[in-house]
Amino acid sequence: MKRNFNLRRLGLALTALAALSGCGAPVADFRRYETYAHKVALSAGMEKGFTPTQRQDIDEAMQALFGTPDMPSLPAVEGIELGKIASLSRLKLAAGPVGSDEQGNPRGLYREHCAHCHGISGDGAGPTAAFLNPYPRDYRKGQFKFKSTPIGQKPTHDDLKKIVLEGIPGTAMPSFKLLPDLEVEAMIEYVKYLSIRGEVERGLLQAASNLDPDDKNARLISVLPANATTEQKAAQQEQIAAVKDVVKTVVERWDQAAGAVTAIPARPKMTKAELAASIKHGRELFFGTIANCIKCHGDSALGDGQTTDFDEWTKEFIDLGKDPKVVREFVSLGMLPPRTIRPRNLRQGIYRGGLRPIDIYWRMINGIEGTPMPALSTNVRKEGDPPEAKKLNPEEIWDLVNYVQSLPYDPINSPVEAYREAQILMERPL
Amino acid sequence: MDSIYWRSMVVALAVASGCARPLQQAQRVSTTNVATLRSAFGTAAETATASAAPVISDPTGWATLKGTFKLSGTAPERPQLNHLIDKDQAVCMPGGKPVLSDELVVDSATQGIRDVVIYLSGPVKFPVGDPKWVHEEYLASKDATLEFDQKACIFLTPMLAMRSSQKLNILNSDPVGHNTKIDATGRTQQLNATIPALSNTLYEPKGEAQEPFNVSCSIHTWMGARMIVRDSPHFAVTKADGSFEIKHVPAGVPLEFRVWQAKSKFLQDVSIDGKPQKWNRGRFKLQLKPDEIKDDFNVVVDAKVFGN
Repeated sequence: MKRNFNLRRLGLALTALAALSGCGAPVADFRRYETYAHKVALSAGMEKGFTPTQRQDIDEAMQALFGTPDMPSLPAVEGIELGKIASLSRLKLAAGPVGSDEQGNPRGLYREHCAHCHGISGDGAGPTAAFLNPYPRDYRKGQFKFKSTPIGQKPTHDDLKKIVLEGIPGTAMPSFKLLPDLEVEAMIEYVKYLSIRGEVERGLLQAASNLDPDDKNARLISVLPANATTEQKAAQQEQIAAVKDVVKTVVERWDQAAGAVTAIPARPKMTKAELAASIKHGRELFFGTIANCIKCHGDSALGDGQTTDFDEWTKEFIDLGKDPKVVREFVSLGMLPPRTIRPRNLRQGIYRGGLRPIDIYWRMINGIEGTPMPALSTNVRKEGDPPEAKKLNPEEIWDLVNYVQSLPYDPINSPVEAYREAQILMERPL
Repeated sequence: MDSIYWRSMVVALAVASGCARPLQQAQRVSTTNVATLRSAFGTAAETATASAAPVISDPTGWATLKGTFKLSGTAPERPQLNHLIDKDQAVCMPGGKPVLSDELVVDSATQGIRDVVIYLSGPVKFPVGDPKWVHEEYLASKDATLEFDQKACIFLTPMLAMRSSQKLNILNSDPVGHNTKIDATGRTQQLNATIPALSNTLYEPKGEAQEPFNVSCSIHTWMGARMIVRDSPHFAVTKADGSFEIKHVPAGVPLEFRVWQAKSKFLQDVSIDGKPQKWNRGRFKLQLKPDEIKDDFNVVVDAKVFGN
């Protein structure tokens, strides 16, 4: 039939159009924090999870507060100058698609240098993430490992800058030392922005799960019709105050970071003999029950003492991974397949948080946030402690640092040396 | 018919041609809503004056809430953890002694469920500093230091409830070192500190959390406890026989409590006096009269809730 033939031609043309038009680059978009939403729904006992309205409320609040990947914005926070944490002008250098403006200022630094691993949303799940070990950091939890502040406190600007400048040895994180300072600064502030954004999203999901489930009018945030009643208006004011409270709680902690740096006593200057004695004492502490290093780093410091644990980014969703169904659920929602966390092999001489003695001291005294590595800070002797209390003197931590730094050069690391030592032992039996 | 056929062909081809399929849901927003909200959030000064505190009437006295949590049906067996004990066996399982999980502990004589936590969760903005809401008897223990001990690699308080103004002395009564890792949420302070053998450390939670969180030891990964920190002192943890008591509960005002247990998380399906109750996300509402002693809050939980 003629009509049928025409239709067929039309269809063919349409199909060709659809096939040839390609898909184009999708607009960059922040992704929802699906894994955390699922976790919150599970632990709050929300049988059906969040409703579409609740999700949209959160999406809209998030966009109103933080804008989009192309057009970031910052919320007003009472009593805190947000510009000190992240300034909008610098954020704009890092945000958006890669390019430059008419004056030649860069644009899209984050997408140029960071997003392929850390993801547009800072979820640590960019296109390359699955191929890396360790996985790139998910900023949204607001936790960072290598910093000068105690567990529970945010890293300082300088802590983050050190990571961006030096990179993280032993991982895929490279150094960005060759970039101009302004660009490095812009990227750091953008990382803070993504981190604050992620933490606020967590806070809003949490707040939404705490809404009274029996009250159908309970909303996280609502946009009022023009003819809203006074009651509705009052309710909305309360909702806005609650959202702002979530934002403030997050931003406050970033604001406090600079004042929370753990002070480190100066490293004692030592002669060769003193250093040898310090290393020897450090070894005793390493094996002792106060510092307890061997429990995880192992008897030979190869990092084989505790190999079944996970980091916090994984553990908060799957606990110890005992239930494969739970693991599958979270992987299907975007979590990268879980890997156990290994204590550092201290004989390799690769220190992720930096190889300066002070970096290693900070790791010991403050622990490493988000990992099983605990802090020694509560075991450092303070004035007024009874002499029999099991505490370390601050300089003893330097002994531990000295011992750890000596480990890569320990003779048993070299097969030739190890053989020679064994021969000496054999010739002179104990 | 025809057009449906062609349309579906086009769609099928477009799908098959390999457009990127987003793994995660993108955000869904209405731009006008976003604009409205942005101006609402942005103008800090205006909203601060406009947002009047919600009016909550003051309590008219104090009451007591007492009761029990009991299991109906057969209690699931407590799983053995011995196969996980890969270090310090001499201390953690002396003589091969079986070590049992304390996620769900049911008393065989009374069927009482141990370590159920019941805590006051509302009105939303609980006026903690207001003496009309917190009985003076709670003042004495306001900044008390509680103890949290571990022996034979077991946390002796598997479910700890405390006030955010209190302190916690974390003890290690073992001859081996532990580390206590408090994975706090909300405003509660996190902790991950080594605790030398036969030693202790002091912890200050500083702020409250909306629900219980885990306490663990990274050295002995099978060790686990749960903890909740609240600003208000109105909470209780059930004893071995499943009984609990909360004294000096604000009376004459509508209150909301939440109930949580380590295995079931928030308890939702329970029955009282044989009548089934649905506690949405572990919540129940209650209003007590001044000087009332409500001592018949006897909750029965079916074993099915715990997967048995």
